[in-house]
Amino acid sequence: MLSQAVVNGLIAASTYLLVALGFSLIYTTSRFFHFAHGAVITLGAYLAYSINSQAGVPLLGAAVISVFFCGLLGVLMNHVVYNRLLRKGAGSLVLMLASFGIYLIFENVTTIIWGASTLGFSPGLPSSICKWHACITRIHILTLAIAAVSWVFLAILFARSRHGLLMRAVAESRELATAYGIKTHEIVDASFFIGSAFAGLAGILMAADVGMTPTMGLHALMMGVVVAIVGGIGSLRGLLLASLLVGLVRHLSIFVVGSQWQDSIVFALLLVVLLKSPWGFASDAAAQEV
Amino acid sequence: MQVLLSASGIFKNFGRAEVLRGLQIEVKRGETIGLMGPNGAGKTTLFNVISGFILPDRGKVHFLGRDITSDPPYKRARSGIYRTFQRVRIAEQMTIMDNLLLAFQDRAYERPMSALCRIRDWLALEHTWRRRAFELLKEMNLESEKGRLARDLSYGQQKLLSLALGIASDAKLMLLDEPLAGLSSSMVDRAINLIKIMVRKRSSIIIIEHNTSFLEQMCDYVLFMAQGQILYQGNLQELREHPGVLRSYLGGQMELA
Amino acid sequence: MEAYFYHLVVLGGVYIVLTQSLDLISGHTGLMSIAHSALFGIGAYGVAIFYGQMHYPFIVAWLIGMVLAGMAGLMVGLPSLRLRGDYFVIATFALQVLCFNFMNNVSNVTGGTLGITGIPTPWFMSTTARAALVCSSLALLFSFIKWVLTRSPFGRVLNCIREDEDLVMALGRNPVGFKIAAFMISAVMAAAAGGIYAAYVSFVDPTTFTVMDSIAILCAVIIGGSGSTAGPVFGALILIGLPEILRFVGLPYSVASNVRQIIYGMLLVLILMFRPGGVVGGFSFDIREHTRL
Repeated sequence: MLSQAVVNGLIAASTYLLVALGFSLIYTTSRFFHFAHGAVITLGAYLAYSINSQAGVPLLGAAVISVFFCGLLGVLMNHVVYNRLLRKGAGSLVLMLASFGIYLIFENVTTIIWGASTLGFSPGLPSSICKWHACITRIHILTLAIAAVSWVFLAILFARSRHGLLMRAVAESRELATAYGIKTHEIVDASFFIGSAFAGLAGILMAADVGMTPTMGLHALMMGVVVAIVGGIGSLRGLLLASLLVGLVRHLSIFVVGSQWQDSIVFALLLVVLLKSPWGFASDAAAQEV
Repeated sequence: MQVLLSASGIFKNFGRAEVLRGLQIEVKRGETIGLMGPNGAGKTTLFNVISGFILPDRGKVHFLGRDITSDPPYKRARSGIYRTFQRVRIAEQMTIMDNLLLAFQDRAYERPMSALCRIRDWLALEHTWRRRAFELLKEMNLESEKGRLARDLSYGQQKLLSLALGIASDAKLMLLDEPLAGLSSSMVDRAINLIKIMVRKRSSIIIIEHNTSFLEQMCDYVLFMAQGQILYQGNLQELREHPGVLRSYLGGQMELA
Repeated sequence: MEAYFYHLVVLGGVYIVLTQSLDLISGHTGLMSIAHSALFGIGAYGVAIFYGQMHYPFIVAWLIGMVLAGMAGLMVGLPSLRLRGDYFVIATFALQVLCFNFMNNVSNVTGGTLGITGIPTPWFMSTTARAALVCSSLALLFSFIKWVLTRSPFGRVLNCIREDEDLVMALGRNPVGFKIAAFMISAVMAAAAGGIYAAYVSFVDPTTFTVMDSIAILCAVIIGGSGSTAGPVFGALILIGLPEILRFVGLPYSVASNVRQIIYGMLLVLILMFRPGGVVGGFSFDIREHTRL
């Protein structure tokens, strides 16, 4: 039982990590909490579902198309709403409120189109491999692998590439970056694209595992936000540690309290972290911001 | 004269940049001091350290003989330190009158219970404060604008308001960060007028400013800061001939160019 | 027809208390909360449990609910009010989730997903006309309390916290204490509304107190106009009016609630873009951000 809980925790950790990576990538370049990220997660799953079952594209292809559209959707949100608000001088609080609005719209449109009941990709549950009293499906292995690859991808992007350097510059100060002639808008768009693509990917992986509902995105996003805050937004190592912590705490807590308390445990953890060090594991780095 | 503020051995690093390096400063009651120095000398950081918005890495700050090194900004404000910010900071979406009423350091009736249960008392008290605020507004030629939102004022007027907040707070030490920068000449006169009121009230003032004729007119002496230390203390005339000052100013300009 | 009108007045009164309570912190102090339906719920459950099941006098149960909500507010307030803006929202989200899970899971206290039914109607609400009178007076009373609070020296500090927290400190006030006080007052007011609501509808269940409801309330206040007295009233009108309009239009029940939330979302985005002070006007959100020192 314990080994199964650990496995489940690790798998949950990988989806949270994917969500948190996208969420904090967007946060680092645009400095606000993009809650509509949750809508992108949900839509990623549903788009893949429709492209697969209605248009008849094989699941893998459908997933790729859907992830691409999710990226575009993020960019679109940025252009249609956030950029306009920014031009009017909106601060991070206003942008966050607007993202609530966008989220509300998307979740409910999803419910109207696809219905509130759980949908799943056909062919149903894939075969699983069992060892040491723990079972793991191919989807689970894929999830773990994709999360790991995504993390490494971002680590390399930030540490090595010119694009990552520009992103870091924008993250430091948008005004200064603009003054130095960096095309900030393109950088922010790129972060929205990559971040939202991660979100769509996370949504598809979760849906392939347990099916999809219109509210799946909000829940996944909240776990991602907790990971992002506990880990300290912008610190890749912090995010990795925090996602493992949150995933394992969530799934090991069922041995102590019932499974209906999983969310409470995670949010209690968040409150404790906020009380102890408001900027998460990476508090030193954040405190340096002057 | 009584020593109002003394700071000694102040060190502050931001990352690898050493902004303050063992700085010493002493301010006596009623003194008006000009603070000069090239960009990046640490002038604003010094203000932040004195007013408590930044804690120094090392060193002590004493105010009225009391160690305030670890006091949060609001406690220092209560004990009588007011500072303006380089970029004007006022409550933009509050009226000018409300801005001034906040600056008066009478904090009675600020608890929610007394706000609800002693309406008559706080209304009466506010009446007197409003009258005092009105006097100040007259000094600024803003008496007709008292009900307008602060953000509707011009930049210069907002700057005047931030000075008036200091007068209203009755602070013993005023830290003015470039009070004249960006003001038109008529506004400069009004700002000087407000600073003179502070002088008359025997407040000690430290002014960061580049305008030397203004400093000559207002200040008892000037301090010249460079590389996180006070390089020179004295009158402006001698300052101009001081070799180190010249070098650091030229160096600063070369950095800029 | 008359009964229907009174019914709307009762709901309107309850929602006005709720929106005013939220506006005290969102509009006047600049702290967005997405926990207000949970705080509302604490008041409702307080009445359902202590009045409906344990048969304490209504007023006692009502007060217990308010105290509990105040304590919940303090619990979240203490760690999070040292934080600025966006982090505070996350903390209120945590409060929302914790409260909802408590209502949903602790079946022996809260009735779990079934909730608590059969709360007897207190004497002062025995007819809908009476209930309407009581609720509209409560709405007036709490609006007045908020009006006084926000115009008092206390409220002036709150407003300044919304504008610029560093300035508040530079003027000698400690923002933390004021924020905690404001959040607790707001929580107590929300619970007051909840208690009345539970007594009126005579049952409570967790589905009334979800995050989505919290977000809808916040939307309504901002659409109506933050930092004013009329704005939240208008927001409450939206909250009760929109469902009625949608029903009048003849949307099937299953879709109506989705359409309602879509409208909230769209209105919120449009208001933020084109009329940041809200419909009625008040504090507007278009101020530039003050970067930290």
